[in-house]
Amino acid sequence: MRLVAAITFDRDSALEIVHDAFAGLHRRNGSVVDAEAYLHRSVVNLAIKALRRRQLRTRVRPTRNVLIHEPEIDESLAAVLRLPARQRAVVALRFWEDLSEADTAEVLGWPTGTVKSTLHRALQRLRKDLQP
Amino acid sequence: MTTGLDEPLSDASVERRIRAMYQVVVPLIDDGDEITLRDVADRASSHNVGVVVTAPAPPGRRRGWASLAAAAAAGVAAGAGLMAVADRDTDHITVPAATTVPLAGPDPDMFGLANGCASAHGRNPLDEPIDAVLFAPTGSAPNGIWWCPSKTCSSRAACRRTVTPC
Repeated sequence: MRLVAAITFDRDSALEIVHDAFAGLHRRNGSVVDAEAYLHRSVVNLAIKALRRRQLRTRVRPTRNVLIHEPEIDESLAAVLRLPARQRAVVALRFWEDLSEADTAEVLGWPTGTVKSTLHRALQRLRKDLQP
Repeated sequence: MTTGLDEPLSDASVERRIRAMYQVVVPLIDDGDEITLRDVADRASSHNVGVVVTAPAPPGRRRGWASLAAAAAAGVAAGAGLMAVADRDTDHITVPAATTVPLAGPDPDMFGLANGCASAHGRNPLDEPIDAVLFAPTGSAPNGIWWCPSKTCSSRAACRRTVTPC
């Protein structure tokens, strides 16, 4: 749940995504060998799709409770919210889940090189946005 | 000589700021007012949890259902042998055999236990629903725990008659 929240920054959509991932597992009727890995990948991919589909990164604003009123935190949140969906997912897996690039690639089902390049672009963009 | 103020941020500085932001912001989004993964994972690790049964969400309680789905995932991750999930759109608490999902080493008795407990609650659908039932699958004895986070479930006695809590 918190991983999805770290990608969408929206509680309701995160809950929906967790639910849908679990429903997907249920529909597979026991054919999934590694349920944990399936759910992990599923929630991230669903979050990416949700961000793209609904353009959450532009529509969703942090709730009142999420605004911290600490400039460094709020600026960082705003910068992450401006990232494209795939970059945001990679950043969440690396810096919230604290996964290695290889593990991030495993979760996403991407080549490690794609994770590295996506993370590199995300960091470039974040650095530019956070520049004083 | 440089003041440092105009120096570009390093990747490490960006990373530190983003990590700090997550630590503050994410817990506020998922404020833990439902079952947390940690709750279930802790219980699962100490009780060799084998089954997680989640009740469907009554109208207006889908949030709870989603949290329970996450809780069930944690139970599975912690070694759950069997998981039963009820349809989120039903408005009564029943977990028919058709909705059970054997994940690893299913014990046939577990189906009966899960269904029995859910049915016991299903007879009182207007009660505060039981939120999760965790069973330890060791052997065939129902020596598991059961757990109703709401602590207001009036069907608890019925559930106790159906299964034997440890």
